[in-house]
Amino acid sequence: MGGTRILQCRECGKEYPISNNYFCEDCFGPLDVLYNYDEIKWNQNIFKERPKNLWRYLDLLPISNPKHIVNIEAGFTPLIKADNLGKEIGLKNFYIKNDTVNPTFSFKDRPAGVGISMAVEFGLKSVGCASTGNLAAATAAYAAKAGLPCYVFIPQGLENEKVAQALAYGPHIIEVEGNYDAANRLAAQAADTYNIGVVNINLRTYYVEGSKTLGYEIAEQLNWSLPDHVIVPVGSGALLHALCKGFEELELIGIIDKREVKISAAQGHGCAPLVESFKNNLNKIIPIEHPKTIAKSLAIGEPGDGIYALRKIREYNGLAEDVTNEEIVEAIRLLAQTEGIFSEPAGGVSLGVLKKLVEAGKISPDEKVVCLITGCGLKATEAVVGQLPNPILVEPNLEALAPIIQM
Amino acid sequence: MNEIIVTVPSLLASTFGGNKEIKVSAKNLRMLIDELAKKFGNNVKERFIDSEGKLRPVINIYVNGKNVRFSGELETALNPNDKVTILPAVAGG
Repeated sequence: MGGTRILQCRECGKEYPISNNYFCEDCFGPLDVLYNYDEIKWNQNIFKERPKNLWRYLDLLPISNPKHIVNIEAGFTPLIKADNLGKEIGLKNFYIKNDTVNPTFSFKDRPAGVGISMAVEFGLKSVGCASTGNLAAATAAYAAKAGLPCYVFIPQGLENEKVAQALAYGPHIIEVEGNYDAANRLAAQAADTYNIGVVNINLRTYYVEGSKTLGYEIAEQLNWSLPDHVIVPVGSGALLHALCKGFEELELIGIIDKREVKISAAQGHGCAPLVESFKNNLNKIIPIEHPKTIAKSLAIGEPGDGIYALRKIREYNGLAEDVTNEEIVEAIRLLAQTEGIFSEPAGGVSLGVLKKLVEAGKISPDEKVVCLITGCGLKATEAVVGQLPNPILVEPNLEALAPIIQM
Repeated sequence: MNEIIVTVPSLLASTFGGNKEIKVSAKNLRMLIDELAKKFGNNVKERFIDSEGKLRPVINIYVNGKNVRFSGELETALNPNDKVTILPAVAGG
């Protein structure tokens, strides 16, 4: 896979060779990976022989030597035609992108995979991440597979399940007093001081390249076409921005026709800085000092890619909306009870927002809509325990069942 | 003594005379950036402050670990021995 790759500053356009520098020395802007798109010759047939994981798109990923790939078989998750749920919320052509089935049960296996593989390519001796929970497990799992020491920075008060899962992979988990932004800052300082490859900080340029594979997959699974509308849960804004980059690259290499897809952002009420800016027509993000939402994986008060995600929503004629904790839980139940998919609160946010937009007439029943479900419900059961009925206790005989079983 | 300790990412050390840690005196963040610009050249100021005189959104500055966006941005008061950390604003999650 010898495609040409360079880095380019998203703010001022200055170009750099591939390296583990992660921001523009001139203007502090983030760097993006660009490819020589003329070299990429994708067509439907070449994918028949490729692996059924995110590495099937290796020619548009930054790893130059395939030997450096750390593979835990993430990606190529199902795109499900969700007719039951579609009927329930009033959509005729509705799909769920089910990223709960990744190896560590969230979409973070995509960016962490590319980030850790690049750490191997750069010969870094240790890796890590700052995480609201899902990335902790993903990074730790890849580090275990790569045999690298791993330092995971988390805020206080994460869901027990996420911490337990991450601990099982054997990283050093550092719980930072304060919120996610405090953990993120300390991880950035540690990355700089100890030369740790922190996937979402000094390897973030590459990390987001993993996230864009969600876009490639949606297009491939729709027979190399784009839907009318995609609903994306937003924490930092990096996923939304990466998804757009993925779609734009598909157009550049000519495998899809012109993009006419709308991209909309979903956030939890209590941590919805992007939604606020969108609704108030601002061109900046006003950070939230104390995020409050049960969607902890989206509880980023100061979204690093927020402004870029905001611009993309506008460019793609999308919308931004938030939902309350109650609406999140209701959406989790609705998804589970119609399609058999148990989502964590972030998925409840994207589905809850979709439902709200359809009810408000902002999305029409005929639109082909894809809703991203990015993490599994087992990672955050505390959000729904107590909201669900208790099991029915019975004596072990048939008579006890008579009042329960409906014939 | 009685100076403010500023830490910048390794990647920017060359901009600040090869130092990751710089000591300056200033009463608030705006004055601190002016001091840095005086010592290391005017483009330092352009990197930090936009055309409207505000802190550019691609940069996060922390005073004793607290993000200045929650404490008055460039008008954030500084005291001797405060620790100022400058980092690019990067996405996480």
